[in-house]
Amino acid sequence: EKLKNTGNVNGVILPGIKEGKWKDKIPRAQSDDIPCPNQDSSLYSDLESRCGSTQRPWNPDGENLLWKNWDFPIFLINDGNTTAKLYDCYAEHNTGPEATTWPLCSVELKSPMYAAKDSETCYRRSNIIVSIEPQDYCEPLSDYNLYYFQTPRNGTQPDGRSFVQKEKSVAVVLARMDALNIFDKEEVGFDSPTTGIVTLIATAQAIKKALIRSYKPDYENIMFMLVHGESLDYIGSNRIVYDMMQEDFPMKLSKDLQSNGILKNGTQALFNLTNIKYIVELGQLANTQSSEMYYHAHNTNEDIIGIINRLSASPLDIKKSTRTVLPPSSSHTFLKKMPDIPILFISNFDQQYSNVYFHSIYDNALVHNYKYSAGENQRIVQHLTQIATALADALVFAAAADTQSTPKADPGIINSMLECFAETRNCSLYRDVGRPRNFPYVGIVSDEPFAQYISVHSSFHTTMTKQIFQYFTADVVEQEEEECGDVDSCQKQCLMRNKDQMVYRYQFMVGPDCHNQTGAFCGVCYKSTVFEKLARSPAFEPDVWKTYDFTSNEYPTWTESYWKSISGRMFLQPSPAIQHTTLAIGLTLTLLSLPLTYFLQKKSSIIFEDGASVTGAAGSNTPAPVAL
Amino acid sequence: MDLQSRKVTNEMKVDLCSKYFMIGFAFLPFVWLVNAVWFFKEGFVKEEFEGQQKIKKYVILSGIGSLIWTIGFISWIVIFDQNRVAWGATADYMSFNIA
Repeated sequence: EKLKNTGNVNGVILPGIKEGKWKDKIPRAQSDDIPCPNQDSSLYSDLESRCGSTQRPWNPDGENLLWKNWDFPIFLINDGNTTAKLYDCYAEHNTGPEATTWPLCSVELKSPMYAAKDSETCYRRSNIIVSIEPQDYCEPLSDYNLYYFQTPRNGTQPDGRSFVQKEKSVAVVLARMDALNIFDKEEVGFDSPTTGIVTLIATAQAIKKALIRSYKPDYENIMFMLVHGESLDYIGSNRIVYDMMQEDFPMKLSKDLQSNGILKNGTQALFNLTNIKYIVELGQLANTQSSEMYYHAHNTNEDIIGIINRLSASPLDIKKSTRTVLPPSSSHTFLKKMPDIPILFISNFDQQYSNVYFHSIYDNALVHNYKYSAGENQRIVQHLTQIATALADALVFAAAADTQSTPKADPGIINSMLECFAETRNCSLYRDVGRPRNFPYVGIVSDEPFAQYISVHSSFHTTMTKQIFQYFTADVVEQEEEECGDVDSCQKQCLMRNKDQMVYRYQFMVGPDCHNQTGAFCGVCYKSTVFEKLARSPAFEPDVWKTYDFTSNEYPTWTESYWKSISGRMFLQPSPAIQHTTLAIGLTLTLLSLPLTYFLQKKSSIIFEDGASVTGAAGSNTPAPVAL
Repeated sequence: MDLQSRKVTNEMKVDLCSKYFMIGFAFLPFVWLVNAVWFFKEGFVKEEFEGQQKIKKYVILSGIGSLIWTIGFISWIVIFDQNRVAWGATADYMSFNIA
């Protein structure tokens, strides 16, 4: 901040800590977000509640790098060779006794962005049709939310009547799916959101394995949701709530009825906020500092108390938070529209984040002591397994009347998921859940995990998370007697089952037995109830944005600027003296050439003796006007 | 056309000057400017000849006309440049090529 204010800084290069000269030089704490994350979209209106407390805010290490206007480029360079060269050039040319008075070793950083002013302006400009080549300046942030229903919701009951979900009959488990920091494609967060995603999927799998045969009278289903874009004022949850209120969740039934049943093979009943019994939200769950877990309860009622009691009775070390306000969480969005929903927020912090690298490039596996090769018995895997087991058990205890077994989470899948999300995309689980004609069987598989930033289009992170979710909660479709043929035709037949219905999502994935060193040679058809839904702010809906008041704070309005390729180069600069000399010579030459040309033309008849006669009388200089 | 050539009669010159003057009314201030500059020598420097008064008149009027246009353009450019950002949406709808 102080450096920026001097006005002398033209650009910043941050050397990466993965290799090279600065390897493992991680700061004690660093967070790119503000001390009170998402404070403008908080349920509360006073700053004190938004922050937990202004003296001790949720995210004390927040330096607010994300939401400030930086008018110079900030580059992160991970490659060890490049950072070494940069440092050597500086050491050799810019410091020492022979140093020059000008920066001999210089760097040029290019980071051109097209958008200007704010989202409203650049989005409006992108939509003005002025020429046949429209220019886009920015795009709204957008990806997909994922949701999973424990029990399939066929819109038509066996006796032919249409199914209507009862009020307050579905328990909801929620976690955010995205990470954020200031460096593009480096947004991988271990504590937030990976631990939440992994635990949620493990809980869903545990409940699925326990096989609920019937529910208690006031429960009809359990829903799991992974919402995207929550780091940016709750984009995903705002969209889900909006869709629910527009009767568009899980799909627009009214539109379907009008067009005479596009989904004639099966629809799902509508679901909206009134069907939610309570929300259990999973926040940051890593046990890097300590294994103590906390719950923050809001609108506590007997259902919540029941869950709390059951969780407390489990081996999990969970305590009530000493705060009276709800930490920044997706539940805020639901509460704003329906203030009486009971919320249970589970996290690894009481008053302030225990994750000192929240929304930072340093929130990685290394810092949280995770390594896939350390196996299932490492601290973090066991800890998350414990949480998932306890939560699955509590939910089943509350909701189910009859199950086949008690739910237990599987540490093996937790370890596999952590490997893929936090360590490398070249992991065995991605090979199991990949589709045969897609990643990882097509394209380059590098060693970095996928970025978890919402971005402006669907991402690999979302797609692979969906497939992982489907893989762990789906039933395998048994093949009929005749084989389906080769991989492509098997895939086609499997995906055909998705036609005209919205009750199940059939996905064709390679599976654990269908691949080897060379690639995938077969695949399996999975029948799941995991769906995706567009996660883009309602403010950018075609019928909303023209009249939407962008200053109203009702919906998030984050957009990303269009940009050309980002590059940088290092070079040795010539001295100012040389530059001035070059300029002077150039100017002199120009000034000399003007009278020289004039004289040459005037005396041209003397200089050029033969032939060439100038139009008009000798010596005449008037330029001839254009003949009409 | 070379106005110095003997083939161009004075009547043709007057005719040309008046034609240019008329054309300039079709929102073509540059035509007026060209008219004024081109016929200036004819109208004010050369000796008296038949029809020179007319040329003088047209040159002066063309000059004034292009001057008014120039002042108008400069004023609008300055105003728009100063206020484009403040005008927000209206300015964007007026612009053909933003950025």
